[in-house]
Parts: sequence; C-alpha cells; structure tokens
Amino acid sequence: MLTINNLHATVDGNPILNGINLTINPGEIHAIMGPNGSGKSTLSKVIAGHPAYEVTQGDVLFNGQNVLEMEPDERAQLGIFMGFQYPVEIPGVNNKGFLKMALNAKRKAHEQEELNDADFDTFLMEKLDVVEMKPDFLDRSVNEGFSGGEKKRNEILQMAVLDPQLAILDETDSGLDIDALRIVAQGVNTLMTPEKGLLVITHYQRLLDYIQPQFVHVLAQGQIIKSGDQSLALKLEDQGYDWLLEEVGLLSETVNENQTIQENQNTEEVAAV
Amino acid sequence: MTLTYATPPNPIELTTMEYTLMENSLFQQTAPLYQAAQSSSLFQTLQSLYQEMGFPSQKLEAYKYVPTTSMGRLHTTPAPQLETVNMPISWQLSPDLAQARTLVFINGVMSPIESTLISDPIEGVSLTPWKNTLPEDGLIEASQSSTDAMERLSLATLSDGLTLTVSSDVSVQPVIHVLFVEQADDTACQTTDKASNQTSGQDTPQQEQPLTPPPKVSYSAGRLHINAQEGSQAHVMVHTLATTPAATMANHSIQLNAKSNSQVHLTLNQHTVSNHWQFMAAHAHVEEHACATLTTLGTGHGHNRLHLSAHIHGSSAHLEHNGTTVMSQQGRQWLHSEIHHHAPEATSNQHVKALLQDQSRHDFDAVIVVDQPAQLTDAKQLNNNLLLSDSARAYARPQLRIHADDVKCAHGATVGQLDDDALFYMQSRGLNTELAQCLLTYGFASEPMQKVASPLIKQWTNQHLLVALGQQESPMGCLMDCNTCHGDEE
Repeated sequence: MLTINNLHATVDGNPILNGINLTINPGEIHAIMGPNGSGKSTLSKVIAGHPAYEVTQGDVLFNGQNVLEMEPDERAQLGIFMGFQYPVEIPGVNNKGFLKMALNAKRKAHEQEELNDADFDTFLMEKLDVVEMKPDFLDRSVNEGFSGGEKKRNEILQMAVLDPQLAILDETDSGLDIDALRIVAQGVNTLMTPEKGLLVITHYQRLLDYIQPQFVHVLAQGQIIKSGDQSLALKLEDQGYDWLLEEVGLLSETVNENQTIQENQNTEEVAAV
Repeated sequence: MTLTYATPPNPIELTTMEYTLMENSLFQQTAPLYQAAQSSSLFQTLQSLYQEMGFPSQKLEAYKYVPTTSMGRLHTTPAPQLETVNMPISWQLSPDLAQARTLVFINGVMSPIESTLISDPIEGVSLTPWKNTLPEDGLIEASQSSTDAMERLSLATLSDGLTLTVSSDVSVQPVIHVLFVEQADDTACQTTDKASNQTSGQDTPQQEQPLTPPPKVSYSAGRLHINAQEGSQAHVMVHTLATTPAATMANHSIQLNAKSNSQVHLTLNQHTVSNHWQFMAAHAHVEEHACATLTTLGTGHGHNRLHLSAHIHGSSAHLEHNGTTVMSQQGRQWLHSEIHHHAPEATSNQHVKALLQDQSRHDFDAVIVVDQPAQLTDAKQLNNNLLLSDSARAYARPQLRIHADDVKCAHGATVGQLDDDALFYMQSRGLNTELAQCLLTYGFASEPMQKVASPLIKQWTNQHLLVALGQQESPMGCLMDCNTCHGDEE
C-alpha cells in the first residue's frame, strides 16, 4: 500500500530525513518511536504533503502512485489521512459543516453523489459513537475551545468520516488522560480493517497497549535505525534510546554535537564578558 | 485648506466642504426637516453648534486617516425627496426577511409607502415622525454632547427623523428592518467614479491637492431614535445601501436608549460602492441590568465611517459590539469607537474583524473609558485584521483609559495573513486550495456574525457576507445553514 524509498527531506535547507525506507501493507499497523527531533512528525507531514518540507531525494508510493507530485488534498482523496499532533483551531467554521464539506469533497473526487443534510446527519451520528463524542461538539467551531483530549477525539472523528485507506496518527496520545486514551485507541481499532494500514507515531508504549502494532521502528537523525516487533517498544520504555543509539554509533555523534553546542555557547558568553 | 467666503452671513472661516455646502444651499436654507416642522430657530441653533466645531480636519485624531481635505472637493447637492425605491432592494436575498417589518428612509426621508411598519404596526411599538413632533431638546442635547463634527453636521442638515419606542415589558417578535436607501438623481449627479477617484489614496494627513471643479454628490441626513423601555426586548436590523450608481454622501445617525432590564439587539449593515460616502453615528445609552448588542457588518468598496459611542450608565449592564468588515478595491472603512463605563459592575465586549482585499484600508480607532465610580468593570476590546493583498492596510489603535482601580480590562489587535498551517490542515482533509482559502476567510469573517441572536438576521447577514466574499456559489452555504441551525437552537 505505502512504499517509501530512500526518502530525504529538508526544511529551510536543513536536512531532517536522511534516507527513510518503509513499507506498509494492507492490514498492518506500524509504530514509529524515536527521540525528540528525530524526524517523526516531519515524516508524517512529508507523506501528507506539507508545503514547508522539500523532498530532495527518494519517493513515496501509495498503491503504486508517486504522491510526491500531488497536492495535499489529492493525497487525502486517494485515501491518506494524517491525524495532527496539534490540531488547528478554525474559528468561525462549524465542525459539522466542515466534516460535511470534507466528506463531499472526497465523494465528488470519487464521482459519488454528495450527501444531503439528512443523509449526512444519519451517517455522522454513527461515527460520533465511535469516539463517544457528544453531538454538541458538532455545533462548535472546528477545534476552537476544545480541550487536548477533545481535539484528538475530533481528529479520530474526521478519520471515521473520511474512512481513509492509510491513517498516520502523529502523537495522537499526547495530552490525553487515561480514559480519553482508551476511547481514542478503541475508536482507531474499530476503524481498522484488513484493507487498511495504520502508522502510529508515539513516544510512549502505553498507546501501543491499546493499538497493538505488528512492527515498531525507531527513528533517529532522520533514519530508521532499528525495526522490530512490539517487544522493541517495551524495551525502549524500559531502557530509553541510549543503548540503541550507541549500538548504531549515533550516541557519540549526539554527544559530540551537544558538546560542540555547549562549547560554542561558552565561547560566546566569554566573548560577551 | 481654508477659504473665506466672499459675503458670508457670519464672518467665519470655512473649509472647502463648507464652501460647497453653502454654495449648494444646504446651509443657506433650512434643512428639509426643519422646513417641514417650521422650526428655523432649532435649525439655527443646530447650525451654530455645528459651526462651533467646524468641518473635521485630519489634525483631529478621530479623522486622522479620513481624507477630509479632499472630501471638501465633493460638490454636495441635496438629495431628492422621493416616496418609493426605484429597484428591488437586497432584502430579496432572503425571502424570510419579508417577515420583518420595514421602515424605509429614502435619502434620509422616511417613506410611509415603502414602510410596512406603518401599514402593519406591531403592538407595543410606537412611531413618532419628527415632522409632526420635533424632539427639539433631544436634538440640541445630542448635538451638544456629540464629539463628532459630522454628526453635528447631520443634525443641522436633517432630511427627516423618527422615534421608535418599544413599550415597557413588550417583547417584539418580528424583526424591525430599517433601511437607509440612497437614491440619487442620476441626471443631476455624476455616475462615474470621479468622486471616488478624487479622494481615494489620499489618506496621508495634511496632504493638500490642487482645487479642481467639484463633482456633484447627492447628500442626505436621516436620524432614528430607538427607545427600548424598561423590560422590553427587540431585534432591529439597520441596512444602508445605494440603489443607483450616482455619487452619494449619506450622513445618518442612530440613537439607542436601552432602559433598565431591556434587551436590544441592533445589527448595522453598511454597504458602500466606489462613489458612495457614508457617515454613520451610532449612540447607545445603556441603563442598569440592560443588555445592548450591536453587530456591524461593513462591506463593499466605498467610503464608510462609523462613529460608535456607547455609554453604560447603569450597574450590571452589558454592551456587546461584534463587527466584521470586508472591503475590496479602494474601499475604506473607519471605525471610531468609544465605550464609556460610567457605572460599576458593568461589562462590555468589543470584537471587530476586518478582512481586506486589493488596496482597501481599515482603521480601528477605539477606546474604552472607565470612570472612577465604575469599579468592578469587566471590559474587553479586540481587533483582528486579515490582509489578503500586499497593498491592503490595517491601522489598529485599541486604547484603554481607566480611572477606577478595581477593574478588569483587556485590549489588543492583530494583523496577519492566512495561516499556512490552517490551510494545510484543511487540504489534508481533502479540500482544494481555493476551497480551503474560502473556508478560512469565511470562518474569519463570519465569527462575529454568528453571535447575532436572531436566527433570521443571522441568516441574512451570513448570506450578505457570502456575497461580499464572492462565495455565494461556494459550498460555504452548507456552513451557513449549519450555523443558522445553531442559532435556532439558541
């Protein structure tokens, strides 16, 4: 379904991704973990088509089509969905109307008849149950004034409405309390079918207790440095990333980089004095 | 620039505007209202009060960005007095608005033929046309208390006026729809954009241009007093527009008196075209436990100045002002606002948004004043501007003047462009770039309109907003329906 070959990407000229290779087949759940700044969110945004990131090398194939030349909306209509780490607030735009527009844009792209108000209401009520959201959320502006948990549930509601073939969830568990985490994870599991793929980006093993991946990848310095099964996530939870960075020879680089930064700061401070 | 009139009735210095006003007999003979009421003494008093202040200059902070100097070259001529409107007016945008009772002022003169509130009155609502009973003291007091020279000019040149009173404890169900229609005589007034061209782009203070032969501009002034008595409720929508392409200058004013425990919701839609100048003064006096909400929508590409002055005299009263401006081309909107807290424990909230396209400009010059007795005041003021063009400009001057020591006041302003992250967010949900931009601009502009209490007015303003944004054919109607549904539930 999704094949990423030797993907390199930069933002403002700074390299972030340095040769990512990843394949997700239908029915598979993949998790990506990694230290802060390793490029996890960048990977999700590059797949979804964020214009701030420039792909300098490699390709991303979705069902055989190279999506890198496509606009974000074209990728969405192909069936790629990205759940945001920080969902954007859109004041003045009613949540329900936004969902209806998004769904009808997809239906139109697939040459399906657009849903009228009554049919959409019926359709939407079923989806609300998936994330245990109250209908009054629909009358509010998109994400405006929502708590962190409500925003993440709203992301999963959008996912339920758009029914993507591939969902990429970028730190969907951040900011969630225990109950909200369970509800969001259950919602995701409900939406998963053997035809679909899921890429979960997270820092914590706790999400993977609910959404159980077959594959866990560790991203560091823009590369996947290790892949394994869920036991890898458990080991990371227990021991952190240093052992792995040391194993692949990245720890010394990280330490050296930090030392260089510290030395530069000290030099500047001395110069200032 | 100042000129000395050759043989003035009084030896006073006159600006070019006054010169043309006198030349056009706006001041040489009594204004239409005072002629009808045979009250030349009142006219002379109001004229004197105006002359004490004189024509506004860009030296005044309140008119800093208004090209008053070039306004002086507008050759004003009294608008014709007409009884009917010569074209379908835009209430046809919403057939539901036909349910509303209308009060139509044509060139500042109330038209009984076009006003359904005259032929089909509402129980508990009384109308007092000023041609029958002039509120002399009220007009002099209004002029004396006004700090706006254009309003004093309006009072001295009134074409007509009317007092609308909602009786105590009456809740008026139908929306009262007031239209100020400018309908110039096309043959007498120029129909080109010369008037606009002569004044656009001259916002720099103190800038003088060579005197050129003035184009003719049809001038009118009307006034409406709304008295909401104790415990009453009413929804009033005021709509200003021009029905002809001829150049016009409207100088209207509205005074809203919200007595104790009343709730008045006033919506003010101002639409201007390129050669249309519009000055509107809106005053609100709010007594204890009363709630007055003012929603303003300014659209088009003409020149539009709103002078808002609200005085909160009663404790636990609330004043709400939500406004949206959508300007395009060379359009100018100036909002000069003063919200004055005189009494303790009252609240006010002002939120004005401007969406500016092309070379349009918006000036937000607003102050909240809290007097020493107004302890425990809670007042907020916010102005957000969205620039959709490199040439658009927004001037924001939110100000607080606080004399009490136990209050909560907040003010702020933002100027920005469309948020790239929000655009990407919507695109990632399958909306194309154009639709995502439409949605963002609609969302930005519609937010203040969604606070309108009346579902009918909310629907109308939303529809009007879509037209102003050029999105009436877009799927944004779906959002409007949903938003209106939300209003229904309220």
